Amino acid sequence: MNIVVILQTVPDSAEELTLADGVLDWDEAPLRLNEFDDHALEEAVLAKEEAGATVIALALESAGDRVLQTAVARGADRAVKLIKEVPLDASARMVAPLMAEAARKLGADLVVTGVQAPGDIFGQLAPFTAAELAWPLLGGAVGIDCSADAPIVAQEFGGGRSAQISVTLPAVVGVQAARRPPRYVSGSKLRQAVQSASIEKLDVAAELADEPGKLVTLHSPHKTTAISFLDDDPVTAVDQIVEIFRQRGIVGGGRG
Amino acid sequence: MADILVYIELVSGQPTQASLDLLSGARDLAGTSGRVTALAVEDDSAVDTAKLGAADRIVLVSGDAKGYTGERHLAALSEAIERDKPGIVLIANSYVGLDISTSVAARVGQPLLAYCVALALGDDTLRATCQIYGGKLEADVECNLPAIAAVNPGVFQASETRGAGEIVQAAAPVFTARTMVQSTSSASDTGVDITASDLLVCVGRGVGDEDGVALAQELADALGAELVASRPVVDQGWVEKSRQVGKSGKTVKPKLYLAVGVSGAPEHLEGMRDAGLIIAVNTDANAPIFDAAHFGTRCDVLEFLPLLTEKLQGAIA
Ligand SMILES: Cc1cc2nc3c(=O)[nH]c(=O)nc-3n(C[C@H](O)[C@H](O)[C@H](O)COP(=O)(O)OP(=O)(O)OC[C@H]3O[C@@H](n4cnc5c(N)ncnc54)[C@H](O)[C@@H]3O)c2cc1C
Repeated sequence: MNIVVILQTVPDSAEELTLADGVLDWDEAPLRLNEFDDHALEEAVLAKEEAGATVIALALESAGDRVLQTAVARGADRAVKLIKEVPLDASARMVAPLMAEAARKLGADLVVTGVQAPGDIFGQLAPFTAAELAWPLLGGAVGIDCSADAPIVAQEFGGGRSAQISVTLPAVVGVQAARRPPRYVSGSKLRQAVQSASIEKLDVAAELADEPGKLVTLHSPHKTTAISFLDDDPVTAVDQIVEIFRQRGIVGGGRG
Repeated sequence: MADILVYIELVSGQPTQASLDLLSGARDLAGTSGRVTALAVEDDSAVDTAKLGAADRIVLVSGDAKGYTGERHLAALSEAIERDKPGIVLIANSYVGLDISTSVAARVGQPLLAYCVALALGDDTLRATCQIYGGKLEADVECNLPAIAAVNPGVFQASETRGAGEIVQAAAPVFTARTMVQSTSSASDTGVDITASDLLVCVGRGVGDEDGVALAQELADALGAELVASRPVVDQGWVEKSRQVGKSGKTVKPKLYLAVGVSGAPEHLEGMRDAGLIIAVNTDANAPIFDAAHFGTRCDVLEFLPLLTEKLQGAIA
């Protein structure tokens, strides 16, 4: 079985995101592997270890080689760079036809990628890719068991509800979380992958899809609550918090 | 005004609160001239249509399947869109919404605006504000009608409704099933009931590692609080799943919610925004948790936690 894992780099929302003229300043944006793709890769490698499979990491050229090299260090068998000029801010809808063609060319039985990326204003990659391929989609996945002919996907629905769904391949899965945390790659293993992993190049004929929506502007959220900031010094902040607790009866005077 | 179709998500035949909220939002958006249709896909439980009174029309798609599969709901919703041609389709951005909204947009060839926190209708356009980058940024976007919007929970609030509208039974959708429900479970209810506690200390990824979690546990003990966590902390295996707060965890409403090293992503806020007193500790002044908190400090959690524990132990002793 061939499992194609689509890996995307995205602006890191834990860092400062700078805006220029109402759009993201991509030159300044700190990029990182989409954390849900990180889990998708882990789940694909777990499935390979349990049931045997070839894991093919696929990324746009703009994602850079390091993402693919790290994927190999973590257990991917092949690393493929999709060669196509794609704007950094291209939406999932736009790139889905490229990913779908690449998945076909790579002989994918299963395509896995993150359930969402942080800037998906016009929809997510997994369902758009599934639609392009006319394959079934299973989103919100928290485990893929490939040991049976029809893999079983554990799907989460929130509020503690979940289901085990069997799927006839080929299919696309949007991963929420792998069954265990993405594995750590040591510096030496990564160096080894950088030296030995050959990154294949793949051309696709498909064109970027049109974007049916328009981004007017990006901005910081409008504040909905008026927060009171306490001191930045932890000693003073702690004193202030204990005082708030006292006033509200949380400590010293019984809980209110 | 455009006609609006609202996809109603069901749990054991009951419409989810997010779907009911959305239905009321649709009523307001449609004004007096637009027609609102509620579409629910039946499974093996009877649908409680009495709650769907905000709709002019309720379409029940026949079926007796056990549990939800995306492909069945996708087929039912796409068929309804192609048949009724609504100007707008609204879907709550729940897990199921996340599963089908993009798929249905692709299937019917319409634009999708996702993670909407505000919606406005123009003559031929839909404008929305979408919450992205973990709630750090908002995007004002627009597209031509017909269109689909996936709306975040809490944007609209269900209001009193008149009696149920006309009920129409639609045939089961036609599709080739390639997925099948093997089993379902509704229990992560082993372990502690965090919804019963008045005082919660929540650890986020900002605590760094299990040692950071241990510091938060000491604080929770000193305060007589329960320890809870964000999803990544649970996914790391540092805290058990029954203590997770948010979209895929529990919804809590304690008197005190002390969030340490939590960014405040929309999926987390969904589970705790109604807490009586929210205090956030986060080094990033732009972290979205500060938009929901009543008090905040930008100090380092690893310095903060032992200091507060010590102080409380002194105060309580
Ligand atoms: C369908 C779906 C469902 C989800 N369900 C949930 C859910 O139920 N619950 C949930 O929590 N998430 C859920 N998520 C994930 C959610 O999108 C976020 O990824 C998650 O909430 C982030 O967790 P965090 O705040 O702990 O981590 P991060 O976003 O990484 O934030 C860590 C924060 O710690 C701060 N920090 C770092 N170091 C320090 C320090 N030394 N001192 C002080 N502050 C520090 C950083 O500034 C940052 O703001 C879901 C996502 C999806 C797609």
